[in-house]
Amino acid sequence: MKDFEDQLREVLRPPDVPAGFANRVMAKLPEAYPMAAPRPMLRRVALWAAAAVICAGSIAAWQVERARDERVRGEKAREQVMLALRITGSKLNQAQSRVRQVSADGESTGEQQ
Amino acid sequence: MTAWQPNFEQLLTTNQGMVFGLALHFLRERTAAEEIAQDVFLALHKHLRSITSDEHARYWLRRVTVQRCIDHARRHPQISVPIDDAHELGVDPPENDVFVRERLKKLIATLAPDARAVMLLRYQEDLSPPEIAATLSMPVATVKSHLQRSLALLREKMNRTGSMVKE
Repeated sequence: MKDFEDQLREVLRPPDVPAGFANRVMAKLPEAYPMAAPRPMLRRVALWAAAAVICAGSIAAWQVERARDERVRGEKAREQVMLALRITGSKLNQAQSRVRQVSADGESTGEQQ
Repeated sequence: MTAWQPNFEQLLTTNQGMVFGLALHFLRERTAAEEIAQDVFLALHKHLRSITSDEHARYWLRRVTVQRCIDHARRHPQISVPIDDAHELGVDPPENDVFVRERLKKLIATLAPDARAVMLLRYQEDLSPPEIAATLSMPVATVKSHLQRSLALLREKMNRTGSMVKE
């Protein structure tokens, strides 16, 4: 009879692996881990890049908004200046007509005397 | 000299017999053994970057497989095998090698999970007690004690059923 320990070794010999075992494991890989985890360094760089893009986008949006506000304010100021000029012009015209009228009245009074 | 590069497919092909064998001998249930073996390889794939060599991969696979089998056995305690079923089968045990082997497998499956793990690593994987101790994170003295007690117990049970074994 064989030595008991040899008998144990024989009994515990690795059995045949079920057919297709390796294929089943390989097929489960994409399911379990859809994407290989990026390396820590690459992941850090990707995070920094994403943060930089978000910051740049925010700054650009803020700049555009500020430029738009300035343009609107400029247009309002120009309209106000134009209005003021129109009012001034109109007043000057009135004053000029008045002066002409007064001087015309003065001339006619002198002729009569 | 180039650095070792992990090749998952190669590790799977090389070690699938060992991993499935440990799980099957431990649990004696093909479906559960295949499930555990698949999970172990998926876990290896996840931790592939921390593996530094083929030997390290083999050590890691043994350790994780046995640990998962122990956890499984603790969660699903099996019904003990009746010691006298040899006589119920009506065969002459010492003359029937297949019967003796099957009987021995069943008896190994009745050992406590830690003792079973020690026996499998010793007689399937041919590891020395210090290597088993490192794999299972237990003192070498405990490993030796498990081996002695398990061998004595198995011998005794085999002798009781008429499957005489050499001391």
